[in-house]
Amino acid sequence: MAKKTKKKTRGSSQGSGRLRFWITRLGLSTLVMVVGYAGWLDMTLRAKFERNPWDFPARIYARPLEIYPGMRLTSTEFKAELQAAGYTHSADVRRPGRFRASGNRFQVRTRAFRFWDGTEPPRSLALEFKGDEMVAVTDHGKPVALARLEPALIGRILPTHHEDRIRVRLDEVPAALIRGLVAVEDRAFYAHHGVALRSIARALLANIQAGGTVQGVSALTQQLTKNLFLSPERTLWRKFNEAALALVMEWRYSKEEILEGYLNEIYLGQSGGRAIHGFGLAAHHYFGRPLEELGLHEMALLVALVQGASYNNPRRHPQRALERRNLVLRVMAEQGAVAPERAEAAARQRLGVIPQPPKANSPYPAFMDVVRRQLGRNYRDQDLRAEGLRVFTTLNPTAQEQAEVSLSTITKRLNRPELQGAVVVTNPQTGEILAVVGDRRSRRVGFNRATDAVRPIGSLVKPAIYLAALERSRDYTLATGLRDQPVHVSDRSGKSWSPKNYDGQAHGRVPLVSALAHSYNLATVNLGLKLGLRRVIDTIHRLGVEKEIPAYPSVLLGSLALSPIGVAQMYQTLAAGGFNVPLRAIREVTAGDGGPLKRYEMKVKQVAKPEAVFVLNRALHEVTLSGTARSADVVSQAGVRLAGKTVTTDEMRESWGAGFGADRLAVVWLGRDDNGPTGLSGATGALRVWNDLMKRIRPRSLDFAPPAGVEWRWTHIEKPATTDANCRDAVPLPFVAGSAPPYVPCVTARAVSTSASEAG
Amino acid sequence: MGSRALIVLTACFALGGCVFGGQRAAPVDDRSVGGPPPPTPQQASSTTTKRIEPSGVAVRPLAEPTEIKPREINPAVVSLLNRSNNYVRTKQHDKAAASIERALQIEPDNAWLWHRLAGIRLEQARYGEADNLAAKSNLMAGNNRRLQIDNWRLMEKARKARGDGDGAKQAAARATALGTRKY
Repeated sequence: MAKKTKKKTRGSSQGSGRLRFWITRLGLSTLVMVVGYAGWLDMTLRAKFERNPWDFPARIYARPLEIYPGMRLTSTEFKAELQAAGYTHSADVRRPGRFRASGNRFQVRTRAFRFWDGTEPPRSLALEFKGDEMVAVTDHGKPVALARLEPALIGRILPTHHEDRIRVRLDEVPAALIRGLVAVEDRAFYAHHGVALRSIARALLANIQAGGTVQGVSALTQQLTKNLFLSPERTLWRKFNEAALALVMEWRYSKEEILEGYLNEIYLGQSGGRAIHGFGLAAHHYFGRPLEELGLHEMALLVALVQGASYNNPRRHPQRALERRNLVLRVMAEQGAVAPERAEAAARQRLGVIPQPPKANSPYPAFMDVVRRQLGRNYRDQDLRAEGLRVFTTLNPTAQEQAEVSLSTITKRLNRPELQGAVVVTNPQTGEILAVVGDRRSRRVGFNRATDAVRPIGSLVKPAIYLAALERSRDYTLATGLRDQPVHVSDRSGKSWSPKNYDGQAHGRVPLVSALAHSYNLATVNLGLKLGLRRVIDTIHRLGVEKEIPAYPSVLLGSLALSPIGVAQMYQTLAAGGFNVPLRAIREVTAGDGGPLKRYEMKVKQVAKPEAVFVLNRALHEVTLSGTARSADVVSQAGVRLAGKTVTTDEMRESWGAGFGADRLAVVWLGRDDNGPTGLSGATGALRVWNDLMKRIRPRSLDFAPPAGVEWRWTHIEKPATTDANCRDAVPLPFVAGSAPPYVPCVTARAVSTSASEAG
Repeated sequence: MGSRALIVLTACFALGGCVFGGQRAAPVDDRSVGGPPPPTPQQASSTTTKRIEPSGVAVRPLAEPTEIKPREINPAVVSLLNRSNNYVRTKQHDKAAASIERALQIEPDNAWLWHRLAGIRLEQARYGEADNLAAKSNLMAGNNRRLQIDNWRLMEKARKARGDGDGAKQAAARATALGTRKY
């Protein structure tokens, strides 16, 4: 609007026709401009305020804790889960989000939460633990079969301008907060009812003269428009526009709409580079709780922060904040927004601000990285930063904590400054990734070794070779003799290559089960060459390794390089009995209001013969008993049966450990970022972390109930032959049906022996 | 045990009617009664049916069936099965499947849950997945023959629907070999 128009009274009669013509033209063009301007303002406003006024960051959640009798969880772990989900310890558990613990008994007032498949109602739960089991769950004395705790918020994907907010709807905001806000900021807010076009014009003029506030428009509306259209320039033109916009806003929108906009827009604090906007987020930022759970004194503090959020910052200037809060309470009482005695009682309360605001950065950067990659396949970055999506992940905070502690404790004990590590924990049956650690200092953001440290897997490849053999059950069983003899092969460039055993010895003819248990390289290479590289590589692919594998004999000794998460995918197929389940870090994505958008379903595909996998897992269990992954700790202490494999690669550059129980799989990698030698073998490095972790996460034992098509036979593995149960040196081994070696009657019966003492 | 009986009944209801006859009505995999396979004629005189003792040598016995305790039916799983069945009734198959997945988080080795999920995928005409899930259920089924038969029958249906006539025949043959039972 550069042009100014002047209204002129009628001139002399001479040439009045001409003048009238010009006045009419001028008047018309002014009208066109005013209407155009108003239209433009209206469009600007609607574009900003209606379609998508704010960018709401995607919010990333851990998996919700399922609460049911019989759950394996200690009271300590449960308490940590509650705290991660934002529950506070309090003697008074009448309000949601609070719990009380005495010994093994808990009282928990849960919050309602909208999940993908419906809303979990709020409950008042009484829980009891015994050892590592939740033994009783009741709600007002009635037994509860299953309840779901709302999940812990583990991260957000912020807009690039770093404004963070949680959307609130007006009906979710406590009435006392709104009364307080109106009393303090704009007591005449509701008095401005509808702005007539005439008064707009009048007010516009007044505004140009005053250059500041706008007549006929409420203060809240002005603050809102100012915030919405904030631009760095401080020109008269901008002020004029702001004022006009405020008027148009009053004219177009209801008080409720404006108020809701205000509640979501207003700046209420800062957390590092992140701006805290809106009362919804401010409640979490200052009190660690949702808005609807706040007490009067807490709501008053938020209202106090509307003017001068940093000046009155309650963490930095508690006294100032307290005075300002009590002023708010006094004004509220004066205005009749709250009963005076309630205001007085609230004024006697402490600020109640939590010392540390919830972190903007996820405490689990490596896991979040995996989530981001999975999201990136289906969502645009800008949508993740703006649409307020809720992402429900598979993260198990307890397992994550345990993985972090195991890695950091053991690496500290190993005392090698250059040593780095990564851990991946999954549920092999469902493919869910429960924990990811990508750095021995788990909070450090940067290189995620769990996904990006792609290193030679060494002997971790061996189970694939043995599986390829055992699937040909007519030719290979656990008792089949393999040749552990020197072998020379040449690679594509014609270079001759002669692998060695770890102990430098050749062991001659060894049963397949022992060759795997002791990780004999010569026997494995001979076996792999006999099977054919193509068959071996095909098996590796079937287990879930997608990358291309060049057909060199060196693949038989693990020249194949994978990341820890890649290894987890491969071993999970073994742990799941030959069924590949693609690993997932996300279960569901919903819109900000909870409406379902996308579900990442569990996909199961049979890729290997279950009988052969069963037999192989039996041999891998042997590795944890007497082979390279031997660990009296885990196995003997709890009687838990696990299967696993450890690896030391050339010159001790990589130390790997991978293994599983019935419901948990863990892969550990230790090594150096510069690829230098660590001086650690699989057993002295990764296995120690793995062992420590398995003790903490307590996987269920592999029970080895055989699938159909597997038969157990007492076996002389050296002969090999099946024989009688009471025969000396006979051991029970599983065979794919029909593949057991011939029966030979027992010659020497066993002396009575029931000891399961360590051997080998 | 009144409450246990109630749970069993609820479970039966949850599974859309008790599919078992005989002594074991519970919809849990009953591998707990799984012993070593019947001895082959060659071994009939041997003692394989006795409890296996640890041998004390390098390779240890692992399948000591008596060690695996019969499992109580978890009421949480029952409630999720109920919920799943309600969703199936109202044709909300995605939610029905999600409830089973939740139950599988609690009991990943419950062969019945895998079977149910296979059934849901079959209803959704997702035949390949149904086939794989039924196979997974069979892996977990121990020596629960009835469940194995149901799984093979389900695979037969899924394969037939996909146009895999040979595969369907094979599945039917496996079901028949396990015993005759109307599906």
